[in-house]
Amino acid sequence: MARRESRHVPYDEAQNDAHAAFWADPSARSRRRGRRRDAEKARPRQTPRPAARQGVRDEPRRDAPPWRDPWQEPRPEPRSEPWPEPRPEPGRPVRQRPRQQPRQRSPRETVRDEPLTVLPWDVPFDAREWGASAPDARRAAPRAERPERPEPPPRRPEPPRAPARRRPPARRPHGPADRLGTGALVLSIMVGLGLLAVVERTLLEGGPIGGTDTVGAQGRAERSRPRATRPAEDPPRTAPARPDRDRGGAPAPAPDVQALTDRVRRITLQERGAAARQKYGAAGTAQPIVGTDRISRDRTWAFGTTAIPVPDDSAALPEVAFFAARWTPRSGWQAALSGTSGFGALLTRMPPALMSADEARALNRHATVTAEQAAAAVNGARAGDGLVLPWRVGATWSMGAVPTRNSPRPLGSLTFWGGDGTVTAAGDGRLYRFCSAGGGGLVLLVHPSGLATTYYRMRDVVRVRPGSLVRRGEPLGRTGTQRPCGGAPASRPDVQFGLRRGADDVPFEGARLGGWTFRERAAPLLGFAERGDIQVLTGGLLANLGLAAGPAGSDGPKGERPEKKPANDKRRQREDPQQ
Amino acid sequence: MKTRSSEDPLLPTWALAVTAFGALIVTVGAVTPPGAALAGGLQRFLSFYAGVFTLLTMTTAVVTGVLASERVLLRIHHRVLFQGVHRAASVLAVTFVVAHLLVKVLGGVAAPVNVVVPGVDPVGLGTLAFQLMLVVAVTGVLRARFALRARPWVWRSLHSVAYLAWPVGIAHGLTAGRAPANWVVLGYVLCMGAVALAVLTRLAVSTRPRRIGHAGEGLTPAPERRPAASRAETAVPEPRATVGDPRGTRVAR
Repeated sequence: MARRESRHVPYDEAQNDAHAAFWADPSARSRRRGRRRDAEKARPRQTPRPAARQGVRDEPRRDAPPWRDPWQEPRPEPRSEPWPEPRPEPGRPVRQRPRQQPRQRSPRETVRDEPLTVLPWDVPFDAREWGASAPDARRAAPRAERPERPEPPPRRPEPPRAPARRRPPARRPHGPADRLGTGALVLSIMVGLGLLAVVERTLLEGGPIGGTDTVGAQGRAERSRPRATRPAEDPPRTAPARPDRDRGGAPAPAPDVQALTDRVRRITLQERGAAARQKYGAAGTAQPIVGTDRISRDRTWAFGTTAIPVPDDSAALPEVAFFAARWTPRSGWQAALSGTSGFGALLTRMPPALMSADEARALNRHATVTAEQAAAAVNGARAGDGLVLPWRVGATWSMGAVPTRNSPRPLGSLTFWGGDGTVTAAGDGRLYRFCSAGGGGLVLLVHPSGLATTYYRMRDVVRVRPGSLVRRGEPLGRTGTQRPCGGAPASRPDVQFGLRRGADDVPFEGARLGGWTFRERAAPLLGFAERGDIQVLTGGLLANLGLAAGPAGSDGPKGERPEKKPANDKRRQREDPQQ
Repeated sequence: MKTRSSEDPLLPTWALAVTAFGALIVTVGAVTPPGAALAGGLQRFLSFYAGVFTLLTMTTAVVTGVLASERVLLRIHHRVLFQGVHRAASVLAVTFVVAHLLVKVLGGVAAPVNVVVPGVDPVGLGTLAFQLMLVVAVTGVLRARFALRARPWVWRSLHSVAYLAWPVGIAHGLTAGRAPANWVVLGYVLCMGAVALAVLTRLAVSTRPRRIGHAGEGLTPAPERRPAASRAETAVPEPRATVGDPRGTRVAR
């Protein structure tokens, strides 16, 4: 590496030379202060003024005096000096170290012991000035009056520096401080190389990973959220890498998304197949529908949804699950479904670019919530999520329930239709879509308590990024007859509504939604919604009383709210074109 | 104890070769799937911990930098050691803050504009702290120039920006990102305590008059062989200058 060239000599180098000089000859006087090394090298080897030349003062000396050791020379008597007071003589020069590259010195070039603000080669030797300090000499003999002073040698821009690597070998770093510095340097280089790898991966996979919903500060800002992503204001962001679109004909790296899909299908059938068979009343024949919502840039982490399609003769809600997967070179894809033990571990280790910490928390809560916790969250035993019925508060829709085979639940497939057909979110939560290859699909909202609500058979499903935050009352889609996850065809456009936790469906028994409490009776297989004395059977009309109605069946001023139902009913008749 | 000279090249000669070779290996290796997996893991690790490491190393740098000027309890070789620690910690702090920025921007957690535009929000505070830290780092690298060009006060005032950058960084760490866990808050408190202690020590020392030592003080003087020793030789050029404290040393130019 090139040495840095500079005009000044740093203190430690000069000082170091002073040290070396001192230890080389401790009896020598120190010349450490204010001397540059090369200046010391150029120190005049001045001979004492011979007495024979005392009278010769007319012409300047033109020849450089040859080097003679002043100590070997006979000393003139100080009293014989013609000057009234003895002038200081330059001291004995510091012993010179062998110079690697001897400098060509002009014969004129002699240096006086003078302040170094005057460069040595600016002052030619003048015997008349011997013993006087340089400014005095200049004053005594101005330039104009100096006889035939020749041109000074061209001023060098850079004084000749001592060649590199002049330091004694003891200067090699060996102290603990140097080891620390080296260690820091090594660590820095390693971090830099790691950053290089990170940057390279990012560039290879197409620019910075923008567009997660965690741009900006998460922590404190999070509390002022949830910020709703309205479909009107939030155009669909760049779709996460979809296996079928994104990978096209690209040369497949080892983490293969098709292999991931196969693996998730197998796991889904293993872990959810039995539950699906019981729910559907028959074994599904189709393969599970796997959607890889997100995949990391290096294709080693993936998150998505899987669903077992419903046979055509069953009206049950599809059996759905989230999956998280990781690819390792040794064992390939490792995937876990929500509700199983490995899911939470994979979620928390997932890259933050793929899944923000709070989303991972919400999903983990959803995956691990027990049946009791879910029931308590929805039946008022605990402060739940404040769920309402999935349409505009104040409007009245019809409630239906298709009886399913082999299902002990009369409200196992609860459907609603009516109003303007706009299905709204039952509560705040994060939105995910299943079987969403065609853009629609089953919508699942994961609420803060971990409970989720599902909305099926909708058309015009809102196009937001999976995992976006949705507020209560925001539109999710319109009642429809779509069956992306299979199922029996519906006789009218409706929305199939359900409660869900990570591992299983949550029964409607005791659930309080929009001021109503849902009941399921087994003795006569019967499901209904009740509020106070009013009971609405399936097929009846249900007004969404919202949160203001308070808990269902409560006394107090809200007790007569159900009496308003006829009024709502009339309005419904007015505004519902489908009825 | 010898320490690294400020005239030494900034990087040892082997560092460049090692870096170039490592960069080649990393560039090739990151294309392979295992390398990609490794890079993803590293990115995740750095996005969580680079900021923490920045805080720790910067705290270390501040504390050792303050302590390196302490003259009551510490001997000279202690202080030289502290200077070494100070340099090492500063280098690491700059490394980690760069890693922190890069990973956060690449991860989409911060916008690229956040790197240059400071503000009063948590992320903007981090930007402010980063820029102040840059000033400190640059002055640290150029210390020799400042200190030897008879303008040590410029260097001192610029380097004192560290006293501002550090608390701003602490504020950024506590407000941005995830809500801090209890042990994280405890770590911050410990860092603040360490710096407070070091600054108190420094204040206590700076009120104490400085003992001026001259080089060769303890040595027996050389026998005077020249009775006509000159005044110029006996006069100490700069009374404040010592071996350990070269400020004010005149340098020829």
